[in-house]
Amino acid sequence: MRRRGIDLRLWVPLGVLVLTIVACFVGPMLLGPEAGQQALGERLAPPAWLPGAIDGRPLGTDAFGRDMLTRTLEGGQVSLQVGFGAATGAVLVGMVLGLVAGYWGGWCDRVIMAGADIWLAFPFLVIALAAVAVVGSDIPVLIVLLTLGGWVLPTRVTRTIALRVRSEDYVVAAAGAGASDLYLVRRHVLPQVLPANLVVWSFTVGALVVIEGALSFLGLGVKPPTASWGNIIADGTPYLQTAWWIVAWPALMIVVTVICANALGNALRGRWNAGADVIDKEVVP
Amino acid sequence: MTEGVVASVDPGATAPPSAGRGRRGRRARRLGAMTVRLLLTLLGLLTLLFFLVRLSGDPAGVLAGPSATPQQLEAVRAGLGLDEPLLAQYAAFLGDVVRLDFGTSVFSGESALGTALGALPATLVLLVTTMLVSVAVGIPCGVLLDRGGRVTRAVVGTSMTLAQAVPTFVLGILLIYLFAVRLGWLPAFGSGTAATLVMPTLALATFAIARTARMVAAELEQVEDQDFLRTAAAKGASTRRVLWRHALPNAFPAVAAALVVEISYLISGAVVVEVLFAYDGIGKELVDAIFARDYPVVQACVFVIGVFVVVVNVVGDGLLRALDPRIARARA
Repeated sequence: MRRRGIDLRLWVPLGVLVLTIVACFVGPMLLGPEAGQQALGERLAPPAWLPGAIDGRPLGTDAFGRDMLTRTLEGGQVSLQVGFGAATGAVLVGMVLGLVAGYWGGWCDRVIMAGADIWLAFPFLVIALAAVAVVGSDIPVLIVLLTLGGWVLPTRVTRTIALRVRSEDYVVAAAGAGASDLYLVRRHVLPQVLPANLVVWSFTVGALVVIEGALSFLGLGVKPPTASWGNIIADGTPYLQTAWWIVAWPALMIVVTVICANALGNALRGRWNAGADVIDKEVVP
Repeated sequence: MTEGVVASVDPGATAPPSAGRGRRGRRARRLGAMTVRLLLTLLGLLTLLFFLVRLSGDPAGVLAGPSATPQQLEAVRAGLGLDEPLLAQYAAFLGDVVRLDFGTSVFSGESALGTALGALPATLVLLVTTMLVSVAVGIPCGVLLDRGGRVTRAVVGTSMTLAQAVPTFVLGILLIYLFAVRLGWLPAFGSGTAATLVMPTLALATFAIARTARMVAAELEQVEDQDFLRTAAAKGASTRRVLWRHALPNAFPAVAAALVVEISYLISGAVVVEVLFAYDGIGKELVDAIFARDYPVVQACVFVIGVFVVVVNVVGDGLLRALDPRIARARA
């Protein structure tokens, strides 16, 4: 697949994701602070190609006359920070727990896996809603919360792989020759666990961007006027009939991000075979 | 997927099954252990909620709402026993949970548990229609995904990828725009009539349809060149009969298992969908209560949803084992 030229299935989604991140964090600076301000004279202006558009507002304006391009990019800052941050946190937590459970086994294993099963059985969004209602919803809180929403998958994948690697002949032989646990984990287990977790990370980013969207759509994400893709969509819903573009741009961004994150995960899985079967079994695509 | 359910059940499985005891006894013990475990988790959840409310500043202020007068605050404080030590409060709280007493709604004055239970049936209707639709549409899609021609496979595959990438609330808004705003065929929101059920069901089922389809396709691929299919074909069964009678039933346990496991995802989705379509279920009740800072109702809703999930998991696991003896054998 990779013999000739570059692997598009890997680089296209990766490129789009990087582009999205750069655009969201750099774009608003280039557009200047003025575009994000309220301008009641410019309310609900349509995108540039429709009649009635305003100059310098290529994607239209919202109900407060704020530039939709700026709002969408600013909203992306929150959604992406939370999505990527929490996915990274979840994978780190999951790798540690999974290694402990899979490598050392015993009661650690039983406790961790029981916790994972129970955690999965409860509707996460309900828990998150209740928690946000009480402790509030700054970006750090959301990241911690969504880390809790995503730790099970990496934990399970890591555990299964660690369990398998541990019983391989070459690991048993190395242990017999006197290698320490730390050495074995670093030298033999981690190299197999890391690529698989990068795949999991990719899928988790997609899943958590959606959850962050759902939370802020319900009004329980970051507080306005701070934008996030979910709360822009919520603000735009009443104007669906007259100003579809308020909802359209952030919705499009979420969908593109999720598709790219999933595609990246699939491409990486195809690329490294380490743990691909484990992931197939755990992630129902 | 099956692994998820099976794994989620069984602390007893690691212990060797005691000799002499029948399968009946083992099954009862397993279900009992699972129920206890899930109920304990539920209790943990409520405990967490309890301490979060108590620790995040003045609970009386939270419970009474931002517009309460000092007299009202005092009344709430005394009424809730907030002048007592935290552990005493916690013990009282546990007693209330056991007696199913969650207090009364801060606003309506009605029983919090009654409010939550009253909203449950509408959500159940939504969940059932969603499951029916996801199976009824998902299985044929899965067959197409595995057996269809090149073009069919590509089209169905792409739609499934999209269906899994579009968040429920975005899809719901798309449906409102299309069927309510543009075409005017369906009411954009409300509950109680069949017409108001269509869009919430569609929004909620789409993701489940894609999952079901992928699962069915994967199972079909797995049994593709098994002997029993060749035998059936050799006996003279038509291609269609081989597919529907012999190949497809292999996918049913996996699909059923997914429905059980995904009940928690479905409920999360239902919360969003109910709010979006103003559908009067327990999800909307929960979110409304959160915004109203009506904590008794929030706790009651979380409790009811939790119990519901526990029941579905326990009953569903029993049904799955009856449906597919291989699950029980694999663990024994």
